[in-house]
Amino acid sequence: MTESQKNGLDGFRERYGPDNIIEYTPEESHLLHKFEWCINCGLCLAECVVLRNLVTNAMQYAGPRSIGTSLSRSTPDFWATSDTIYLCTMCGACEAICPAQVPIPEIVAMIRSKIPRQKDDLVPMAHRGLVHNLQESGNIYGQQIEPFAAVQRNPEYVLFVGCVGSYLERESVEHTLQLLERLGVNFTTIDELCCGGPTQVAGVPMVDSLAQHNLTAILSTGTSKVITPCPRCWATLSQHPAYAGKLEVQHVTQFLAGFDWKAMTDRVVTYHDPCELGRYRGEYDTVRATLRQVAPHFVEMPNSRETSVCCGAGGGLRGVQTRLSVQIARSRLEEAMKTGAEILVTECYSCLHNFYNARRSTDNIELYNLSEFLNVLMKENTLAD
Amino acid sequence: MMKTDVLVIGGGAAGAMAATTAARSGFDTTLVRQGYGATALSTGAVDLSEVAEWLRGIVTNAEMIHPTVDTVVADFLGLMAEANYAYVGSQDKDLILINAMGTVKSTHLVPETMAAGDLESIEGARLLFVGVQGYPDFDATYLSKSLRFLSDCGLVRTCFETASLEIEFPRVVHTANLSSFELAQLMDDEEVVLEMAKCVQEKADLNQYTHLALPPILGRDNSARALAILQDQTALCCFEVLSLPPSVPGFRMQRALDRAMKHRDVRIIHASVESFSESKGGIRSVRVVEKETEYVLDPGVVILASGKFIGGGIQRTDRLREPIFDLPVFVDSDCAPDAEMGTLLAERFVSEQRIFKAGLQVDERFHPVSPDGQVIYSNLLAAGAVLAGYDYSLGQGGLGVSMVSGHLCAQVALDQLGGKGVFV
Repeated sequence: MTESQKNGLDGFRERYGPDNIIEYTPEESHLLHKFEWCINCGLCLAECVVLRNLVTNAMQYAGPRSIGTSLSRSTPDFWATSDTIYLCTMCGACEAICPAQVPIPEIVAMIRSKIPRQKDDLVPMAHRGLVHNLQESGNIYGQQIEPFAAVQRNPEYVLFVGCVGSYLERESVEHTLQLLERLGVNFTTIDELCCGGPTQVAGVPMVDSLAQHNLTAILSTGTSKVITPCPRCWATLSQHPAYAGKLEVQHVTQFLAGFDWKAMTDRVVTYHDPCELGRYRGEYDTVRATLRQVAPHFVEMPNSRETSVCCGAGGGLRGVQTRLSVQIARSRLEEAMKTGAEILVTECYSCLHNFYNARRSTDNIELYNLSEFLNVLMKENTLAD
Repeated sequence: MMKTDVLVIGGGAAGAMAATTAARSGFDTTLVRQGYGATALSTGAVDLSEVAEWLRGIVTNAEMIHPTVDTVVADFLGLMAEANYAYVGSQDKDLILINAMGTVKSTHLVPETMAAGDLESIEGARLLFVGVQGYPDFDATYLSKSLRFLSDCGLVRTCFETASLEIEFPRVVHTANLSSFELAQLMDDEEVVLEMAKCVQEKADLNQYTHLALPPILGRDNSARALAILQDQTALCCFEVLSLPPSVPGFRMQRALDRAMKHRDVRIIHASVESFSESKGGIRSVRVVEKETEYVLDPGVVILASGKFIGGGIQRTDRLREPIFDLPVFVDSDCAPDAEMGTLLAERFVSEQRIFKAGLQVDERFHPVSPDGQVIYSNLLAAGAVLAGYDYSLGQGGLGVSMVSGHLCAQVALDQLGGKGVFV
């Protein structure tokens, strides 16, 4: 019998006995008060990319309004029924237009963090393996990942690639490495493990050994300056208590902001805002300034900046519901193609990978991370000279 | 510090009208907003009947009121057409529309998807109300009954007949608690609209009817197309019925205003105003923060269009306050900083609640004033629901007041900036 099947008075006592009382930290209580700002207006339903893609689907999703109003104060059984809370991509589109600024992604993270502690068997398979994978292999895929060879002594910067790039988008990473070399940046890659950020998304405890390993590996190079192309790594390395402000971390798009690009493309380029760069951190203009320099035919998608649409990979959805995740990526890719863009640029391996998942061989659009795109352009320009 | 000629705070109807008007005149315009507000939650219909009366309380030149409203209407219709969400109507003709509660409402400007529902112009019509299984906010049977009652009793001037049916919406798998937005987004797909038309045709002999009355779900982004296909397929006039919030047409209007602002190069920042500095009796700088990105704006003129209770422009705690500039809040014409809440609320729910008239008092050039009538900041103007003296809950003209005051604020701003544009 699993945890959730224990019924009757015994089951009730066991579940709600003194040992099982749900405790909230002061931060969590503060968050709970924020959920109470919800005025139940339902505007969030208009922006929810999951809801939009689920109505024709056998799965059910209560939508962001229910997360704020009812899920936040109900029992674990209810949280995880039909995977509800695990279908949220945590993209924050609902929060961006919410008249009361209810922090729905934060609520989702908090609810998810309660489930493993109380009812482990309700955690989806995709998330359940995560801690095990991280402990065993040090990355989210539970696989051996070949480290990158760009190792320098006495570097000024450490390039922290992250799991998704290292495992799924190596070609793109190679371009980023080449670009930094081309720019004469004194940097090194390290023997990195997962930053630990995905644990926050899945709601499982941080694996502290990862942070210890990464901190040691970074600081032993003699620098504390880190560049990362992964928005989740950027958030974790710069904000998570396990790294506690020991590093000076820049997202690669910020690092690339100061350069004078001697490259140009005539093709039409558009940009997809990764949620964790844009809505999470307010980073919209830096990338656009760079892109406008190299791509005079830059166009915006109808949904951009604060009202950008998730690629479908956020919140761990790609693991939990792959088909839905790709369906969402497909709709975003179609939006990009409708602008007439021949090139879609982003700077997040997870977004990039999901767009590749959704791209059909007949689609006339190329996909790049910004740093990769810049390297490709500079390479072309060198060849042309 | 980021220089901007006009800084608008708030992105609803008032803010959007102010920003587009300023930007069109060549002024560098920045709009700061935090989330959507009452405009996105509205029915999407714009009432104008009490705008003139409200405006008489502010401006001295009564002769300019009617032409001003005409200018704003023309402007708004132009903006919406530009944003591919056409509106119709004028201040001189009342449109009588059905709403999802089974009552009627008079209004003036409506999206094209609602236009055919004007009861004044459908004498002798035979309306078929079409509901959707699992969508609880539109009860076709009830609406049919209640509208026939209004018609039979002469409570509306025209006579018409009604009937109803309910369809299983195409492609929807689960049929419980559907939201209007789920259905509207499906209807952005033309195939779905065709399938829906087929569902209706299979369930009723459409020759018996002249009009289809539908819930407001004809597409989130592509409503004109959905309307055209439905009319073409059924050979009937189709229209959307007004609904309670959240209403898709209100959301569409907000999105269309957003597009119109982008067309006119208004810089939109989603951020909260954290602080400001003043010098020489004016606003010198405004600091806004979006997550970890901070902007310090150096504005020529600031237009406050932050809404009332929903938008957060006026907050109610133990007292009423304006949270951004801490301006004095008035009720009617009394300054009400320490007003006992009890005196602002009536015991009967549907009677006039004074609290809804709370807001800022302005001079005739829309500068917020202190209790002794002095202008508070020389370059601060206010528009929309943040203003006092207008009850948007019982009144006939919430969006109208917002649009007209937004437009007038922009005119004052242009005048104050000397008509030169870009960083005067």
